[in-house]
Amino acid sequence: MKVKSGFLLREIGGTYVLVPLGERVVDFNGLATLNDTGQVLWTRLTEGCREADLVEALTSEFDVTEEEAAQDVRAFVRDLQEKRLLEDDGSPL
Amino acid sequence: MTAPRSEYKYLTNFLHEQAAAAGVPLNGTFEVTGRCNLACRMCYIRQGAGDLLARSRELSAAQWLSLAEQATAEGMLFLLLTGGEIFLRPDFLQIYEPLTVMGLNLTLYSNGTLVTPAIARRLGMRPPNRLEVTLYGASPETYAAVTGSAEAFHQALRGIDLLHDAGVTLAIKATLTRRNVQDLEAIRALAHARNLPLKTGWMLTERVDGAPCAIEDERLPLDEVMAMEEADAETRAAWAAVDPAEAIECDPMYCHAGKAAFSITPEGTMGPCMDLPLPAARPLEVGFRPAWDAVRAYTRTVQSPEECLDCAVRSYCPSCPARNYVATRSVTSPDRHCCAIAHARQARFHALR
Repeated sequence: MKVKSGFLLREIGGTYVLVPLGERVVDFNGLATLNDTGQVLWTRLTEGCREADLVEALTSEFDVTEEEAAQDVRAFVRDLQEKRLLEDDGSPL
Repeated sequence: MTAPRSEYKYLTNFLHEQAAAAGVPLNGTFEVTGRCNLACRMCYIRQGAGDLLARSRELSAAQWLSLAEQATAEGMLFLLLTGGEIFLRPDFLQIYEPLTVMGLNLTLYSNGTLVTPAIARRLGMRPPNRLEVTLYGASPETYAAVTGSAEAFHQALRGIDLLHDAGVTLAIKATLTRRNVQDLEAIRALAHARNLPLKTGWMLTERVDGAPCAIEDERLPLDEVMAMEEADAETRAAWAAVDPAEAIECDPMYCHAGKAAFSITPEGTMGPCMDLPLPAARPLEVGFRPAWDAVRAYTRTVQSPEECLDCAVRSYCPSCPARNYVATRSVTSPDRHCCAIAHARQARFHALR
């Protein structure tokens, strides 16, 4: 899976802010903030990956168990799906 | 992940507070021109559309983009492009379009009259987050009285409809004066018919450049303003809740101006906000960061007028250093119009506590 293109992830004053660019404002007119784990997951998702890759990214970057990481990843992906920020590329989760 | 739309205001406040603490220039205003095709009597800038001297002093598109790049590198996230009338610049889209891919949250202010189908189409392809159009009345007659142009009324409505049809997120503003207040309900109806939000304002300031202006001839009588504030349930409740004895914020710069926000004039000088063009730092000459640091340093030195410090009606007062400056050319001399508003509010709302 992969997040839609047309966003810039910026770090401003210690906060990660997701900003839509150009025509992306048509379907996402606003801002979103990401915490540290969200920033790691978003960055991986810009290149496309599987859920297992995201879990692995969290366990290697943060002091969390695989089970905790999997929960965080599922919650994050669900949030992205609700906000229609994931590309529908047909790839397995 | 946070920030659904309902929390947008909370998020922007949080970002501003955080930026102010860290000295980040989060919020910028670029006045890309001071010139306008309308000639509103109450305007605080009001340079003629054909003012060649003013035009020759305006920054070029390349200079605005250079400033935007430098400011974005320092943390600018919110950017307002305003005037004057922004679409009076034939190169406005050359400024605007590159900004849409810099990672900024963009707002445009316009009177709507110069919007063409081509401009609306191009804006719709890469829309700003918000475009606010000011209406000055609800008829050609009122437009003639306020702006000097009767035909501007239909031009403005056409502009709004073109932008709306192009998918641009719009809001309507109305600046109320003695010459158009009778149109308020009709303006409300125009906005409502298009399902657009309406913001109204009645606070008129003197000209920023200090040139003479007959602003008193345009301002609404205070008793009329107080009646409007009382008629609005939210405003009435807010003023009725004020306890004049309560200690209030001592920092005279109580907004984010000069702490997380800045404004740059058409000629390229920088200050904390549009109404306070000091210290007139020059970012194109010294670099954006040193200019921003000069604005922050200046902001820290700003004091309240001495007589305001123990004023009994201070809690009701709309005064700020910028309003004092445009009214008196000094941040430490009180704007007497603000004093009058504060006393009128105290008389009107204190008894409702």
